[in-house]
Amino acid sequence: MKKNILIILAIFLALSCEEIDPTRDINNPNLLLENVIGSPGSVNSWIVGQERQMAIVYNQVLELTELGSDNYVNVQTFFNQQFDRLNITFQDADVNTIAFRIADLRESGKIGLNDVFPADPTATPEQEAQLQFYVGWAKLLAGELFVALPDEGAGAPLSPTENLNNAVSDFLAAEAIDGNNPSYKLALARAYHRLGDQANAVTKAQEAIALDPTFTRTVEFDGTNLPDNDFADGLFQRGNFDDYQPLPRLDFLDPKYFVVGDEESPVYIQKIEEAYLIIAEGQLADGDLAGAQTTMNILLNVVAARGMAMLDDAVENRNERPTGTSVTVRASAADAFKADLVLDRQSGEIPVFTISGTSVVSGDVTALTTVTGALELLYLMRQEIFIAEGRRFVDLGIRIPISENEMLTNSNVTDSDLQAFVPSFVPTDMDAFTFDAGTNEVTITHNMNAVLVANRTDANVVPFF
Amino acid sequence: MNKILLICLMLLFGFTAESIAQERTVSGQITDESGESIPGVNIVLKGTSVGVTSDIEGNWKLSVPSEGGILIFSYIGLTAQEVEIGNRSIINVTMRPDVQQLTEVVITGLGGAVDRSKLTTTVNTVNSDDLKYTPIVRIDQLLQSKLPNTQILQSSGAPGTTGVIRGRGINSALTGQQPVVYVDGVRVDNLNTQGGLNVATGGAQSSSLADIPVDQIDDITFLKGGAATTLYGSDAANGVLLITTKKGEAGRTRISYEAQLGAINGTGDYFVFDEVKELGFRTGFLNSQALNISGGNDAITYNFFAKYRDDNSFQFGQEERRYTIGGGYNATISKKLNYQGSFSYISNNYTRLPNANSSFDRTFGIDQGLPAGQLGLSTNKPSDWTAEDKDIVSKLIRDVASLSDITTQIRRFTNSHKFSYDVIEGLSINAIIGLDFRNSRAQEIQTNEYLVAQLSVAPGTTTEGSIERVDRSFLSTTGTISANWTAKVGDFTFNTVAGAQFFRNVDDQQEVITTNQAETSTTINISADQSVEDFQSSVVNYGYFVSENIGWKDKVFLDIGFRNDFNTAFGDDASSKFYPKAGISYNISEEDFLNSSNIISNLKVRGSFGRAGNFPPPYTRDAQLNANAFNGQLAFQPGQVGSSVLAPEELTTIEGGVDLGLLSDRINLEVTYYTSTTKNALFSAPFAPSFGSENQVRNLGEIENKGWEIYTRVNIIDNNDLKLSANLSWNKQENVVVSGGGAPEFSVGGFTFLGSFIKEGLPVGYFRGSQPTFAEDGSIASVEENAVLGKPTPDAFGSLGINASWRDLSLFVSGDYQYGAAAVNTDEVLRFFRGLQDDRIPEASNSPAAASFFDLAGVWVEDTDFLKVRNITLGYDLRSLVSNIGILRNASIAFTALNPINFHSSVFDPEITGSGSNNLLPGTNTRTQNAVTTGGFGFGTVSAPRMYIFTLRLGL
Repeated sequence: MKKNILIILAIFLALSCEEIDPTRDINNPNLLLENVIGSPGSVNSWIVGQERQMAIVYNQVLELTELGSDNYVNVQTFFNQQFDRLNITFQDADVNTIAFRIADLRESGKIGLNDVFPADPTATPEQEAQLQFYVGWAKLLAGELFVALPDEGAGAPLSPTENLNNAVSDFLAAEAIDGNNPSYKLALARAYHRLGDQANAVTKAQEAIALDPTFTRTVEFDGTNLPDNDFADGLFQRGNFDDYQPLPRLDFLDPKYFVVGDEESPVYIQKIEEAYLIIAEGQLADGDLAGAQTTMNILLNVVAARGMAMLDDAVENRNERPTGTSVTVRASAADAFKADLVLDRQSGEIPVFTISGTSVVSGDVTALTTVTGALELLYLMRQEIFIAEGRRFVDLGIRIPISENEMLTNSNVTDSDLQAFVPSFVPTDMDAFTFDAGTNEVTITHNMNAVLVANRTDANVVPFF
Repeated sequence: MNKILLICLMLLFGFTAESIAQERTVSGQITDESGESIPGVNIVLKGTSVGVTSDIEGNWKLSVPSEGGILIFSYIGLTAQEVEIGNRSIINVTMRPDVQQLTEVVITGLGGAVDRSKLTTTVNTVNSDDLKYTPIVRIDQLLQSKLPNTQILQSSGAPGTTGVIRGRGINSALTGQQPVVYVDGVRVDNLNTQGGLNVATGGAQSSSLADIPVDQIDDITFLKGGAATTLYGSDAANGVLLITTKKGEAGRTRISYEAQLGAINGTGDYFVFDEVKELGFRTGFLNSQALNISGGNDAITYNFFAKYRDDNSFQFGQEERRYTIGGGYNATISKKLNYQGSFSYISNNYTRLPNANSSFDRTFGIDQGLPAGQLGLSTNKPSDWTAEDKDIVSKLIRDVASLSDITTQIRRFTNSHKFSYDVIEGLSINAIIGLDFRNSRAQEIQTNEYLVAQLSVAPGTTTEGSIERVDRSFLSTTGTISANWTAKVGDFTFNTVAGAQFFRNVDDQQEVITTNQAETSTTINISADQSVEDFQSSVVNYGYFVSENIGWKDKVFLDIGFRNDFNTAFGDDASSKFYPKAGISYNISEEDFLNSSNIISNLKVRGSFGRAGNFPPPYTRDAQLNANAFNGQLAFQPGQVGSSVLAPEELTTIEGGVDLGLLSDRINLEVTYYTSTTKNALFSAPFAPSFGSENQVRNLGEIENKGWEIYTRVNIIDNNDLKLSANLSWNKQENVVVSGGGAPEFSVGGFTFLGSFIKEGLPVGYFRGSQPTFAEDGSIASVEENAVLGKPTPDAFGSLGINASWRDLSLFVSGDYQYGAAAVNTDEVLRFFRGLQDDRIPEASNSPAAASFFDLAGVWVEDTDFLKVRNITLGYDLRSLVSNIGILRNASIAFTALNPINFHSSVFDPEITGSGSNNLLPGTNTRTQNAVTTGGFGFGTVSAPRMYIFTLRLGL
């Protein structure tokens, strides 16, 4: 009897201990990959994730590449200043972060393609093409921005041409699945353009226009759940901090991004304008000035049709820099002063060009008489249309090195991969200008569009020449 | 029968008559220094066995011979006194603590109460007397300069914010450095960094240390990580702080009342421009009222208290208000069973201003340069401001302060229950169970009006209002059961402890952010959109432990033990963790050849080896996806890759030292040398970026701290009327990351241009940035990129104090110092941007146009040597004046000056870190909660203010 009682007591005790087990319900509330593979709709969420990663990539790329061009100068911020002065070193933490963000986009895309897509019963071919696009886009950015970059973990660094060719392969794969998406055509046109493959670039540009003559593709941000548009902070939202200041001749295009409530400005990563810019550059490379003029005039119409928004920008402060409508600006000492490039932000709302804007008018195009003159105007349009989109840095032929962290943990990295590349004709004081407060005249030190044209045969710039 | 009875009565009367003839009666009352009566004191007539004990009121009466005689008054923990009776019939005695005896029994938590002589490690204790005149607000500030081997820095003068605590160096590159805290055996929330979710108040993060119940402290013991904390296992590498609260004493009911009134004066010592103080500060007012009731009888004692405290701050728009109630009680249930309980409830309410990482920081931007053009100032240089300029800035400050709405509310309930059962003589079983429940709500309401006032948005804006709110609910449950056995066999003593312990922490956080919040509304419902996020973290740690202390002839003690620990945060393939300890001490002064020494009164050598751990953050072991809301959809992205072998980092400490007492312990000296090595150090280090994988917490590195700890206390004068003692500590330390485990160096804080990094061969958190060299003409000749610019940890630090008393007047002074550390003067970088810079940079490079601040980084790293006097208190005991006034038993007054004097080598306050425990580099380290805090970025915040406090205490 005693024994039985003891056994019953022991059972009760054991059960009680189970009930009061302190480790009960200590579970990871987060999501594990193994729980996602095979679930219906997982590809859709994965693609949303890729879009989110694109936002993260662009937050990193835009801040740095715009500083590394003549578009913006870093006045007083904790954003990177070395890029502003083109002192881009492999030890720079931001160099590492850009490479990491791009690799993250690529590797996430690969997991999406190889693991998530095949297991999702609801997956569509269009989704497969989308995933292929992100992988290609990562390689495109690697090819455009870096001296060299591996395309797999601790892999051998690939040259820009190799990365761009790999991007082309991915975009072609996407195009093969979904041939009616202008995004893949325009991505191909862009990659071919950078590779100097004029024929293919122009063909894909024309195909893109044919599919959608007003096409745009954006990276969206999420003002409430993040990431929000970091670059908008630098351009607009930090108010009295006034981080990024545009070159005075681009003042009228600023701020391209702003925030109203939780509405974040998107970044346009693809615009049909690019197709026209590529076609026109091809025409000029072929010596077809008249054809280029026609294309450029169509482009002006496309840009004009993009419209503008009105914004109260009184919170922005130019500090000691030129401001007000009486300011005139010339692109260099050799150029003529132009009016209406600098705005007065303290007297009511200003127009902002959220997609594309340009100071070039039809008369400027009509007045062109030389290929080089046309090319300079075309690159000015390119600069203005693409401002704050991270493209100028690439057009100037500047390339970022492989980072220290990659070097320390990847034996394939060589010393040459660790050197940034800045073309010899690109000066470090691209943002410089003089301002005569008496006459309200601004003279920019370097007309970088003229510099590019003068060096158009250099392999790193103006790809079709 | 009647005859026998009669004879007995006769004998009795006869003897009595004889005694009456030869004896007399003396009586009196026994009190302690504060006038409280002491029951249970033994009073013995010297040379006889005749004696009594004092009653509950401290009264006693004894028959003594008609002439002569000496009475001996004795009580454990108090100095025994011999008093000649003379011809007195009333002898009142005031008994004083026996310093030597008091320090002999040390509470070591799970190791039980141990004689200090048996300890093989150094243990710091602070008792209620040490805190007598210290205005008690929060545990870390209370201990500042009171723990001889621990450095506590106040990162900001903002109420309730995080501080920086460092003991034996920084032993982790991942987790916070604050010790774990036990109140009456119950582990309490000690989060001293920002949480998983935070209201972005610019680095002013609430610390859970700020509301740990401290008002009724009886005793604090600090065990440094290593052998002293081995029994606490995977949770104790940073040391363990044990707080024991008062449980009351048997005797009459005692009621005491304390009022503290004070003036709060923001210090302008650290600002470049006096206008910060002139325009931004005011004299604040402190009002604290406390009531305490205690008493009891032989079976039950109790101590209850209630307190209200309001500090309306030296800055506009800032306040701290606190309500506390609590109590402790002890019940002797039977001869064998004893129960102790305690509870406290704290309601804390902070109103804060925007801090460092805000458009307008705590100095309202004055010290960094306000935008003159936008504000209509004649210049942005405050020292050149006109009266009109000052009016503009004054209005701005008042607008920002009155319109800002940053609040934190904390509700915290802590309780503890302890049962002790004496099984047989020498063997007892103790069980403790208790919980700490802390609920906090941090909230920032930004109205359009506020955003316009602080120039963030254009006038007329109506859509930018928002509420950001974070609710955190934290529940910690602790359970311990242990058996203590003591025995003496021949020359040997045995003190054995065996037991098991668990704690369970559940931390739930939720954040809501609204956009386009309707003006004046304070509910999140009245907004255009709301986003929510949560953070969950739960962990259970459980293990069993055994400890054995073997003594031989009270001279040599051997201390061995271990804990075996399990934890839900360990990787699936990581086994339980075994933590051993071993130590030996030799009390040489117990040897005959020293026993009679007039010079050496105490000499002990000791050495120990011990291990303790830091368990990894919950869930970091798992491979997981990041799933985020993104524009109304669910976004999946690869997250951490996980580690199935994730284990705690293990801190192994080897220490050896000497305790020396000279001249009847008039001079005490403790010298310790230690090496503490963190193996399997947890690093959140990056992979090669080409993997595209986010950082993963891994057991990668090794960190070493070593150094000397020297503490001396000297009783310079010690007689009945006049006492004077002084103490001084000096802690020399070296910190180095011995191994990075093959990972590239990584950042743990700071900015892109100048960060705090972890790199093999260098101290934890060393400053990395460019170091310029200037040519003769002042231009930058060369720049060393990624140079080592300094380290946030000092070469040495220490505390100092003076205690003096003359009759009823007492003086107390404490302070601390450091040297050999550095910090970044971030405010000066901002002044550089705005044309207000000093001349540390040669003129040719001294502007943003002439040189990049990236290249100049090194010039802003400054040495941060300091000596700060933290507390000067003058107290006067009025007992002798009030003892005959009505029901008053005792009274005292005190005047305290906090933070009155400082000497510092840096331009800014070397203690402050504008970002608090914030990791300033978003993206480089995904962890925020309990992340390592190295400090060293001074900007945009204010220092702890000077306070002048008048204290009145009355006892009934």
